[in-house]
Amino acid sequence: MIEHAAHSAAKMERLFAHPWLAHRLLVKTIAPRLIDSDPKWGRMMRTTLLKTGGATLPIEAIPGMRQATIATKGMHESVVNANRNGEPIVWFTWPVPAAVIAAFKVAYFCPENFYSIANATGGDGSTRMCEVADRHGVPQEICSINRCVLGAHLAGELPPPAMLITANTPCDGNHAGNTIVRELAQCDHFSVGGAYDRSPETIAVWARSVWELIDFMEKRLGRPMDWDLLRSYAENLNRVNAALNKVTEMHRAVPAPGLINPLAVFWRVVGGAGWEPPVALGAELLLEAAEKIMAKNRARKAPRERMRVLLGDQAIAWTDPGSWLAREYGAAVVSDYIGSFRHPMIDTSTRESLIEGLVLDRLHFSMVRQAHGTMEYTLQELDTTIREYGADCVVFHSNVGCKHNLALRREVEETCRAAGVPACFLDVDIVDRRIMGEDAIKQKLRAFFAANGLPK
Amino acid sequence: MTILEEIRAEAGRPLPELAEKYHADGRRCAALFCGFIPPEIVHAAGAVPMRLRATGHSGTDAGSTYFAQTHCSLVRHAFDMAMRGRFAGFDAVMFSTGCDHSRRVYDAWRHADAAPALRMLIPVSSDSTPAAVVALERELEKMIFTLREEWKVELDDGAIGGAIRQYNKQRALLEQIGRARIADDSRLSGADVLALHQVISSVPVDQGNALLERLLAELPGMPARENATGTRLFLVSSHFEDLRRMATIEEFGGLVVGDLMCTGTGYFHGPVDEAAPPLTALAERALHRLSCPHAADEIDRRVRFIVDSVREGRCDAVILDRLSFCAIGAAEFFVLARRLKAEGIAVLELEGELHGGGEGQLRTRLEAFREQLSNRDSAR
Repeated sequence: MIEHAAHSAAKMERLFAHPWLAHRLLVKTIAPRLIDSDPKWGRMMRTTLLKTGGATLPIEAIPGMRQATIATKGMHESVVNANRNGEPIVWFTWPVPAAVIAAFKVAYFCPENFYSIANATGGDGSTRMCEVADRHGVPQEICSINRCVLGAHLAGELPPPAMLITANTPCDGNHAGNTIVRELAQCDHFSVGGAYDRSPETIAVWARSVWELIDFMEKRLGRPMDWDLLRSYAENLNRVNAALNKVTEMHRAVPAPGLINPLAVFWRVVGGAGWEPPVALGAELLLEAAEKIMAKNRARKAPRERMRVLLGDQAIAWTDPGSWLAREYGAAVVSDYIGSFRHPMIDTSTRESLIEGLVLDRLHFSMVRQAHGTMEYTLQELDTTIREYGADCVVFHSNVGCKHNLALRREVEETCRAAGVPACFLDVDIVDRRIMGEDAIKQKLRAFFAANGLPK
Repeated sequence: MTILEEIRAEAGRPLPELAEKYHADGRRCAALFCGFIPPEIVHAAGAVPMRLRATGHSGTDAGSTYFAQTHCSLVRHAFDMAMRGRFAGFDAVMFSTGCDHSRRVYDAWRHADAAPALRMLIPVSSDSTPAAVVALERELEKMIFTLREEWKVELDDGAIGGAIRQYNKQRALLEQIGRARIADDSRLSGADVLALHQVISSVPVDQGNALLERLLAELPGMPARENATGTRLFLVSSHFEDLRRMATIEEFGGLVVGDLMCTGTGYFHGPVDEAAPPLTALAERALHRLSCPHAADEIDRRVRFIVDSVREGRCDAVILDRLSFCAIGAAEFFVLARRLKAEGIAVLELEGELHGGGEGQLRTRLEAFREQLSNRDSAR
């Protein structure tokens, strides 16, 4: 599957080198035909295409997306090659400040990104991996993001790790998945962690655990970490954050630049290799695209979208309703939980500040940012986004395996009610489509819009 | 009434009733939601630390206004009690970040503004690295600061050190109970020991120690259990408080001669280092003790403890019994089942709600398991 994803990324990259052609072919011709159906000819590209933005991807975004694709290809090819050559591969989970691992010049892989890799082989890719996990007795209580990883590992789809660097935050899914993956992988392991809030004291504690990680890796790999390389990685991350923070904020504009899907694509790439140069270049190109779109909108006095939708929690991995919402309701997603970048800059002046900055950066990575800590971390961001992004409604996918988010539903409902915005809770599984299929989702959304008189 | 009957009767009393009693004696009470919160600090602050349980409470209607059916029933029960004002007689309720359910019950409690007014969260890392110990030490310092401010009490190292000594004494006494429990002529059932743990985790430590000393003195004069030589089981669970479920396991499965549960041995196992600075020692014990799957890095220690206990207690099998919807418990049991089977130990995996439910099914599974064990023994 990873090899397939690398080949697909390579093809996409070649096509994205010609923005006009890519836009005509993918966005205008193919994507609209895939919104409602999953024909045999389009199976391998449907999910990827819809997640990229489908029929709503602006042509201006394509150069930035090309860089994201180059980075994706690089991520996949490097692990495929390392596996083929028998080189050690280090696995890490999202909350780990993984630039540190990369600075050891070792092959690295973020297995939590696997659900998107699996779905590049068809929309049922991640579901099939969950089925494999089920067959091996992996408990269904565990979040399907992690069950997908475990299924893929059990199916032999993942390159075996020589070392596992995990963080048991921000949720039980991660914690439970890590427990089982450690048992199955039987390799060296280090767990980073310690911070429940983002106070300087707890950041310092987490930073200390990263120093312990560096020591651990130096001993295991028998070589020192390259600090100059790490500093350059942090500078790349700063470029990424500076650009994508702005793109996120620009979606307050009416009409918004319509780059929510590309932001979510960048989220996955940043999670796996955000420190690599193509990601920084891509992020800056995406910012340029946003500026161009905004200028164009201003020049032609573009009207407000008919309906501005906010996606209040983790996006579905196996499909994307954005194109359907646009076609059916003239709606635009103006903010989503995953693709919202709100990262602080990393202070690269000293080694200490560099490590603390990398920790803080990772704690602001979407999903980690909202999921760790007390309810205020989730609710304040939701409240701000509803009020400042001019949302007409909020759609929550309510991933059934996400215990901490489900436990906040009452608080979330009240936040939305206080802001005067209706909220829809879908109760889907974002990775395992057996729980609720696309038609059921559309039906539920139609009923919700009708009941609330949307679009107004 | 025998001492064991007294213990059973006391264990059946709901916590709010006990809190009322201590309040009448002029003592503060704090409900502790999780075993990661050191009772020593609460005791040193002059209050009675009471391990939160939902004994005598039924229904989760009010609790389910915040939690889904896919949340753990301990959380739903406890929060139901909170919504009905059953914790109004407590002076504090303390939570940890043991799991997503428990950290969110702290949030829900605040959001609903349920009594008591003093609600504290003690974040506990799931790693046992030196950095995690330092982090917990810091959180304990914050906890002490809050208690000093809120309760206007002196809470110094001397008082905490004294509490540590008393709790260590309790741990040593419980270890003696544990040894008596595995004897061939054991006088104690698993249900007796569970009831005992429930009582001593909700009374002042000195009273608990006195009760344990009395029990140890009276044990030799008690009759041996009839089923002590039958099937012997080791029970692994998390928050297990259902005495009736324990009785069913013992009636249809076999005598439970050892356990690793948050509400049992896991809570009491291992002393706090009296020579180290108190907070460092408490943080070290919290992260390195046995007990809960939250301490992910400590799973090897837990496996070793179970295997050693099974051998020492001459157990025929291990029962892994978890609360439904507990993801980290489910992952832990996935690993434990593999490891224990690899050691040649028979394993039965169960899951259920906090209180009752599915008793018929439970009996059938236990009977079938006992039959499997006896077939295995006859084949040998």
